[in-house]
Amino acid sequence: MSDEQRSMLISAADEFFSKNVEPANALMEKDGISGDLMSRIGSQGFVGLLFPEDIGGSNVDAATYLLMLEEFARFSPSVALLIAVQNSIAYPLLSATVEGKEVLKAIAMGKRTAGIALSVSSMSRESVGNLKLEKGVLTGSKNYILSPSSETIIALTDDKPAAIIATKTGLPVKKYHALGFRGNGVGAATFDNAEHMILMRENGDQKMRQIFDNLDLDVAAIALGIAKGAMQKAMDYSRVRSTFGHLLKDYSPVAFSVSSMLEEVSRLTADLERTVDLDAAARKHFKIRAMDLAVQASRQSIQTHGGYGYLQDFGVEKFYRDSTSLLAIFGEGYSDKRDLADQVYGEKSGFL
Amino acid sequence: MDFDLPEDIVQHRDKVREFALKEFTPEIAREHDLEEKYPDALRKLAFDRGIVDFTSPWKTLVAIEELCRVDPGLGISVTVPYFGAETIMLFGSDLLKEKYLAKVNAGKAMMGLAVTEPGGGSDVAGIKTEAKKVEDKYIINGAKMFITNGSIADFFVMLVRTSKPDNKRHHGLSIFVVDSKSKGFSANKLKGKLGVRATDTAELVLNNVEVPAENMIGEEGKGFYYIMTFFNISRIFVAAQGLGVAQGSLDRTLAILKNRNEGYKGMEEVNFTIADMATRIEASRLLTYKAASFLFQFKPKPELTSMAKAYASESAVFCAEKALELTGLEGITGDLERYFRDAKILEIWEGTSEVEKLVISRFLTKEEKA
Ligand SMILES: Cc1cc2nc3c(=O)[nH]c(=O)nc-3n(C[C@H](O)[C@H](O)[C@H](O)COP(=O)(O)OP(=O)(O)OC[C@H]3O[C@@H](n4cnc5c(N)ncnc54)[C@H](O)[C@@H]3O)c2cc1C
Repeated sequence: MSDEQRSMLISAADEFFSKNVEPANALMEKDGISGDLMSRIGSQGFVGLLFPEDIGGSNVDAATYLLMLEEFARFSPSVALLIAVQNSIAYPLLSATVEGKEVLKAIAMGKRTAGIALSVSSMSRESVGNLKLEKGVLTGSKNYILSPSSETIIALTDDKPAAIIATKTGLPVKKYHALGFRGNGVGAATFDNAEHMILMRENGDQKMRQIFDNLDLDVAAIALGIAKGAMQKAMDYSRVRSTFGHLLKDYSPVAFSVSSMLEEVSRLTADLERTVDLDAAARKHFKIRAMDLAVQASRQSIQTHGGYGYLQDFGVEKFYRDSTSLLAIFGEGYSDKRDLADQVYGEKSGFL
Repeated sequence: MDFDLPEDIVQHRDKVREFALKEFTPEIAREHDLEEKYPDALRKLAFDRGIVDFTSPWKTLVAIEELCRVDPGLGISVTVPYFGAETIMLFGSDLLKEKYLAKVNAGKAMMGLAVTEPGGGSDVAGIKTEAKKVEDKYIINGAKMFITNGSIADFFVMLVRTSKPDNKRHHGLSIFVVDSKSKGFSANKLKGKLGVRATDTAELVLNNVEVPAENMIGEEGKGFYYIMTFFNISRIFVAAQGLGVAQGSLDRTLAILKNRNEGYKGMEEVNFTIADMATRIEASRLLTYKAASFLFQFKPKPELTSMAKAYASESAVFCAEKALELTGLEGITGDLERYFRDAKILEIWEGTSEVEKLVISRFLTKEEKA
């Protein structure tokens, strides 16, 4: 894709998201991302970004995809994460079968979404859930599912060998009051006798790990979008709010932190295009930096807004909740830092 | 040098902890957080049981710490009905003490302190709400923003402008007791706060509100000085809120980690992070108790109080963030996430961290000049 095409696509996303998604944020935080909103996003071709055209996708290149995710997250981290899951988890797993492709077609149109059961390496298996597949029948539950109200839930079974399954319909769900990504939701679900497709019969755990590794850059892009969204709001506010007879932007502590964080976001965004070609260590490092920056920037944005930052109406507190949740979900158990150490040392390290 | 608190304060701390663990159940905390509902029954209970005892500042300090440790939203809610009382206690007439403060002290009324306006909170001298004297009354017009207890308090201690500033912006300000039942007074509850959602916050609008002249606290024109004196006291209690939030985050993190696999809970990075949290809590506690000790012996050191307020608040945010980093999905879907949302307010209210740093640096440069 040429640079020009890419920037046209990104400005189209910017326009669509600022007009249609940002105004829906308050409701989304309360009730989740609505089916209607997903259909509208799908009709713009923004859902199946990496899907091929024959299943209704937009077939954009990897770098454009990441820049689009960053743009989406600037307005709605929840929507960006949902789209990332469709592209980097659902697509590689479902595209191998005809039945799976039908599901992907519906996903691309925004008529259906896929949720994912998350694994938590630092917790005992029982606390995360115990899903079994025996003689084609599912039993048990998963306790941490992202977007659990989705019509398709993808999960790794706790069998040996572990399989990967996708349900054909939604499941009965117990939703938590989660800190962030309230548009998606996190919840527990029971899979007993659920109709399903088997996406992998064995080595599911390896495949899942590889898929989650591939999600690293998506997470980094979302983190950067959060940091950018939060800092832009801080910059805009500091240009108009006065205290002690001066604009906030004129105070060195305000201007120094806002400008240096925005500059760091720009640097990392520029790197995002190149990151696709980077090795595993560089990608992990990139993700860690982006996630840290998102927390720092969103915390600072609330602070710059003073009391107003603490209220939902100003749209910055959600960035703080989402960035911290991103770190809690995708940086869980210091797994990134351990992987980075392994890769840089070239052998198992940093586990004590 | 003795670092132990006196026995009666230690006993009070234990009593408060027992109360909080029993009454601040996760269900009650969640309900008030989700529904943004003020816990009036708990306020009454805490009062009746002698949990909140404003006759002893040390008891108040440790009570705030222990209550916020179990749940910050509920802890702040039950200790905030007296917010602003020191202004009347220190500068108010006997009449005001009797008419207003006595009811609050008897647990029969709630009050609030109204300084911040839509146009600004840090710049206290920049407030716009005006009071004009007409015969033996003052007529107040203006608006106040983010006022705690705003839609439930019986009265407010309010900072207003009574005359145009001369060459000093902070001149010409006065404080009044304003009854919330006054004609022309209205309060709009603000919903959708990130945290401390059990506390009540409102915008107040004053449209020709009449206040008897006798409701002025202290002397006309000295309001700025009174409010600053008040903040130099009240900030120590925000430091105590910070201690509670930080300690509670650590308590809950340790409880969650107990059930994690050996590889994780034995990892040095995990344990060093816990050690950092504990160290910051202890440093905050020492600073807070030192500042409190000067303050409660009537030898206040405002720069020390501001250091305690800023440091304990930042430590609360630090610990709450680290707690979620360590506990991951379990943390963000359980009771710990409330601490994270509640912690951030501490860096904002009663002087943002930046304002505290202004206070500290001004004292240092003033000392330098002297
Ligand atoms: C839940 C809640 C409850 C509250 N309760 C009360 C209450 O009961 N009574 C009451 O009167 N107020 C109350 N407040 C208001 C609170 O005290 C103010 O929000 C706070 O003082 C900051 O004022 P502001 O929001 O106007 O921010 P601003 O003053 O506009 O400040 C915005 C940002 O600029 C920074 N800043 C300002 N000046 C400088 C400078 N010179 N140098 C560097 N940085 C600077 C600030 O630190 C802040 O980060 C409450 C607020 C909230 C959110």
